[in-house]
Amino acid sequence: MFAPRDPALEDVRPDEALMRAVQGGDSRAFEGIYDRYHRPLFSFFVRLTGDRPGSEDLVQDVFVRVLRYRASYDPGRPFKAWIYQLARNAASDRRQSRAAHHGADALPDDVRDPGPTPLARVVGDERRALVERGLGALPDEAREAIVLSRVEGLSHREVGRILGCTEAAARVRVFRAVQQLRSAVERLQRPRG
Amino acid sequence: MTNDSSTFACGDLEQVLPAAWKGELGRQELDALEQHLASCGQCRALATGLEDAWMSVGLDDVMGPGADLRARVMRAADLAFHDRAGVTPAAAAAASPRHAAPSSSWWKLAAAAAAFVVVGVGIGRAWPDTQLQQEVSFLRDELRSVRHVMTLSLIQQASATERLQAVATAALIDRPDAQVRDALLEALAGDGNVNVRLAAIDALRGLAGDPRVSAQLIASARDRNSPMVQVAVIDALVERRDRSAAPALRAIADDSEAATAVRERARWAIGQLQASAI
Repeated sequence: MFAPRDPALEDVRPDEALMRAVQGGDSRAFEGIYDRYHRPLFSFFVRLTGDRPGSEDLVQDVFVRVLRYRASYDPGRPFKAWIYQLARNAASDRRQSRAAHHGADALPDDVRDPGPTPLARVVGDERRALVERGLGALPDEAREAIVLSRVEGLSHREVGRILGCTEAAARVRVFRAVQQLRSAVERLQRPRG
Repeated sequence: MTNDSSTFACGDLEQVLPAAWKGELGRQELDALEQHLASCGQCRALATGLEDAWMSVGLDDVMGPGADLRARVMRAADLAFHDRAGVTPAAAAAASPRHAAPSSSWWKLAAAAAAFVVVGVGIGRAWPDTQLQQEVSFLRDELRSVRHVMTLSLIQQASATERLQAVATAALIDRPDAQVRDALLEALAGDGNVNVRLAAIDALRGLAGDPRVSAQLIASARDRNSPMVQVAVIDALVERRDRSAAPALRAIADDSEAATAVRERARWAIGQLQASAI
């Protein structure tokens, strides 16, 4: 059903039109959606979990869900918010599953505090590594707000749609998440005594 | 938040600053913010510190996923596109596992199943027809038994991938025994992974008319923890034409705390069940 990708045939239709075509059984349209969203979703999951292999599984999970729940998508609503909601659900299910099987405290340390990435170590960017560790130490909701707004570059209106709140509430969440990040980084900077 | 600098309060910062960082403020709002920061040292210090934290979150592109991800997703999608033809989400997920090496328990059981097939082919070539039919029947029963064991063994695994494999295997069993049925019902009722629960719904399709299955489906339809599972369960109840579900569906349709999509689906299901009763 799926032919090799031909960049020359890249679909220029809006996301919502592509998804409408997917609802009609158009596998090409599905490939178009994959091409647009797999990298942002992968980046979202990596920033959220600090786990690259796990993030690939989560991306796959999201696209399976896109097909599984394609009938429930309303083309009158923004597709981006819908697919990120699926992504949040996938991440949340994985967290719950891990907690159910290993206990909440059994989340691997590298997920809670990923530590400096190899790239950061190589270039000696201690500040960036520190911020990454601070981000990893935040509660999930705060990390999500920062990743969606800052890293994924979504508007607060879009963030609100994804988080299920108003644009104004999304701004407040981002503000408070950045406050938490700042505190986390300051804690990490303090010498251990 | 206000546009008037004279009424800009310190508490407005949490609304205005994130918008300022992302360039979402109009000229007037930006002027009001700047005037306030110029006159309020505390807010200025806070805004400077937070902007520093905001800017320090790296925007470096995360190195992309592995090259095989696209193929894995498309393989899974290929199966999922055929969902109506009976391919389950579990099968779609299991079709493209990330780790090529299966777990040892899965591997041993799969090897046992393959051995039965090989033996069956050998017997088919060597034995007369009547004996062949008896042996084929015997092997079918054995294969069924192996699938039962595989299901029951894998469904206890910690990894969601292995549990998905278990449920996908269960979906291949034409007459699941009570143990397998109960394991599937348990997965539907309480597995921590939504995909496993969804796959269990599909695997239970083969048990039409079983009152325990109906009871669990109806209970799961009311479980608000996962709207996705609720919708899938409602679809399964319609597929089973299970009219005993009508009161529960009506309750869901009227449940103001249920997700809108779930309530709508419940209303649709009531209509479908009524239509099938005519």
